[in-house]
Amino acid sequence: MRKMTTLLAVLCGLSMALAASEEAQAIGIGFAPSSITASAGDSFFLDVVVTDLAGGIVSAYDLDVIYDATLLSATSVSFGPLLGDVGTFQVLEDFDLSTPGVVDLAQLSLLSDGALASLQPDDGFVIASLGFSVGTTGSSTIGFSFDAFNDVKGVRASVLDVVAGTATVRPPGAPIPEPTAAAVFGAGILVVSWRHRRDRRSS
Amino acid sequence: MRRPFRRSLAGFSARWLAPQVVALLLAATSFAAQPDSKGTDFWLMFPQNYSGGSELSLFITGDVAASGTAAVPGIGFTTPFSVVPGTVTTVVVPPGAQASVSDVIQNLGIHVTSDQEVTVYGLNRIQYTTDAYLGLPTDILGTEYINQGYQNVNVVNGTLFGVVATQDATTVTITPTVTTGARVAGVPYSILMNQGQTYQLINGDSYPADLSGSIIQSDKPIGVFGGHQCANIPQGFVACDHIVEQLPPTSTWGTAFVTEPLATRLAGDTWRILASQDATSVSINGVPVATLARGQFHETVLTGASVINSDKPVLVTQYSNSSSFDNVTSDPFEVVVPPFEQFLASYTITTPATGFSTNFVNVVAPTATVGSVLLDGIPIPAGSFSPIGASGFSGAQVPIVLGNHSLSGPLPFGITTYGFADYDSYGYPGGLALAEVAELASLVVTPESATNPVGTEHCVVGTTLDQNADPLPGIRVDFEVTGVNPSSGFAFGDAAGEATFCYTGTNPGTDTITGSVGALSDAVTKIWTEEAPERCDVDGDADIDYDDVSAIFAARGSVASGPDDPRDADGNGIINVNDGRICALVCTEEACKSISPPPACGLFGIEPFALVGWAAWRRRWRRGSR
Repeated sequence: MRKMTTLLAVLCGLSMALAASEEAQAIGIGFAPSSITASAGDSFFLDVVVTDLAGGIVSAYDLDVIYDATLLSATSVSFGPLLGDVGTFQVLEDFDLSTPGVVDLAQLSLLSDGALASLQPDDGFVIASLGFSVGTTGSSTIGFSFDAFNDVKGVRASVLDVVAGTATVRPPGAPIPEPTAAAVFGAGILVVSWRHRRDRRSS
Repeated sequence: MRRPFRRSLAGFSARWLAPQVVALLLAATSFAAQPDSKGTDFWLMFPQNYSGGSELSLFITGDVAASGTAAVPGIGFTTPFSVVPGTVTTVVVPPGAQASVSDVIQNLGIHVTSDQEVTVYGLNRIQYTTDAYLGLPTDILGTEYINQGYQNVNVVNGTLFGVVATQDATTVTITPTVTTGARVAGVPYSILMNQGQTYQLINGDSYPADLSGSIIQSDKPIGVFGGHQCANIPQGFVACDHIVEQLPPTSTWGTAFVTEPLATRLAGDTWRILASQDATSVSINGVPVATLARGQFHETVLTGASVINSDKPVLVTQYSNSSSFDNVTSDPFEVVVPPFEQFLASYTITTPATGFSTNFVNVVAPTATVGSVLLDGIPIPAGSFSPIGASGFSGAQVPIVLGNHSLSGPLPFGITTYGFADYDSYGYPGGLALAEVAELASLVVTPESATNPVGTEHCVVGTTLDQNADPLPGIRVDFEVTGVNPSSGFAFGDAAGEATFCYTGTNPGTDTITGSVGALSDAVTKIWTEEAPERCDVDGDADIDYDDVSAIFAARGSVASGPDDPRDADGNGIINVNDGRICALVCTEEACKSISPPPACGLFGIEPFALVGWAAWRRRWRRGSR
């Protein structure tokens, strides 16, 4: 049974990798750290990280970060400077924490693609830092939700394909499990579903 | 009156006008100024009627409330008048104001002044011998006329013309067509007249004496009246009637006419076509009928609606025949028929208050407007109109009741008002423009070609010039658009002789825009191209900057208000950061007028401020995360 589980995990991981490799422009967007240990009354910060830019840029984005509102509360959003300096009107920024379970954050750079290319490292960077507080101790997952209004833009305002990651929050002392077959499968489904929506929208 | 010129955005189509374009023009037509028969200052006269006591009246109407004075200074007559819109004011003029002798200068000029533009009709009535004329304001009078009245036929011989001077020390030179007393046919003679003085020449010789064709020139503007004391029309048919018309100067004559027969008449009407230049070719319904010398006329009887064309300016007059011509209740009158380039789009007319129980208005209108011409605010039924050949015009004989009436249409049209009684009649044109179309030597439409995106307004200018290349103001230029955006319109020229016509193309492709005045025309080309709606300029201030992108960013997550929502840069119906980024890339100023970053120092290709900012932000975040 364990071998079967491992095989399924490998297959799903391959499918995810294949899906992600269909287009060279796919970038990764996830959280750092990807695993947080916290209990009721704790606060923690989570970076929203762009990876695998491979020479590309992020020129704008509008993201919904989804969390379990029965356990967590979003408390703050701090934007990184690599889409421009807000103090000198190089970037537009906005976030919304009013909906429990959702952090809506967006940046729109007013800089040229060239300026952004100079500004942003090839391997990726932090676009924002999210603050959370733990209301009830428990395990939960933080991820992204995409719809027609959520995009990540690249060169010439092109829509970037995204491989979205997640972060987990668990109580102190809880074992850190190996990726189970179900978790790997679920991640694969998330990516495929996202890419499917993107293809349908672009068509 | 020649009013200050304003440009018209709307136009006139004599032909091919689509109903939707009519609606467009109704909305867009401005009250373009043009020289016409309305005015605030008139010098008029009453040439001599047959015999007995004439009842002389002036009928005064106006589109707005007006007040003024009617006077005959030579006989000490002065009376004030006021005009209420929609009504007719009648001013009774003493019988002594009628010219009473031939070849004598008298002080019988009638001066009408008003504080607002009015229309003035003169009625000279003796039972069984009556006619009316449309008075022409002083500001459109000219210095050259050719008389058109009617001949003597040995029943009552009294072919005549009259002259009224509008300024002192006016020298009038007359070349009569027939020897009249001491005035020898073909030999010019001059008289000196002062303001308000009148002069008439009556020839009482036997058939076929006719002062028609007599040339009357002056060094200052004058008014000229043609007619006959009591004409029998045509020759051989008796029952005479006074005929009189105030004649338009030759500079306002035209080359294209559409005619409508008089109602009730069974055998047609008599028509005369008078030339102002030598070698004038005239055709009726496409058939050449005469080549005329200056001062010559062609006379014919037309039984149906007709089209009259000439290659040089002519004056066309319509005559009601003597009642014996077809034995119906009627009698002669003379009426000037305007060329269709001198039509107006609205008129206020009146019948005599008494004496004529049968009254009509003949209407000739662009066929496309049939059903849209209003009489007292009510459409004249389309069924009343009949097409006039292939002219693009249709004509109707419309009965009217006693009193004043208003007519209006979406496009210029022509009218003749007339009435019959037992052995009596009257008739006059309801009004006309009096631009100097006869002086027109060239019409040039510009630009010769242009390319514009669909959904935008495009204008062309038709410039009217005389033979010296001087502008001719007030001339109506008709425009017709053929191609992918068929349309029509008209505009009156301004002081520079420029008539501007604008329209909006909705279909991509090529249009040909033809401007025309009578027989003159010029065509230009317009190419309409597809173009997406203006995007990004959200605040409509003709640039794309931080404010616009901010507005889009603030609206992210909403649905576009429509296909032309400037915030929806990618046109996908929703507003998101993609739209904002698209617009940020096309900002009018670099970085959307934001403060530009300092130039890169070359260290890893990253600008120093960015490194500083990034490091500071990381320090801040790490402090906060601890």
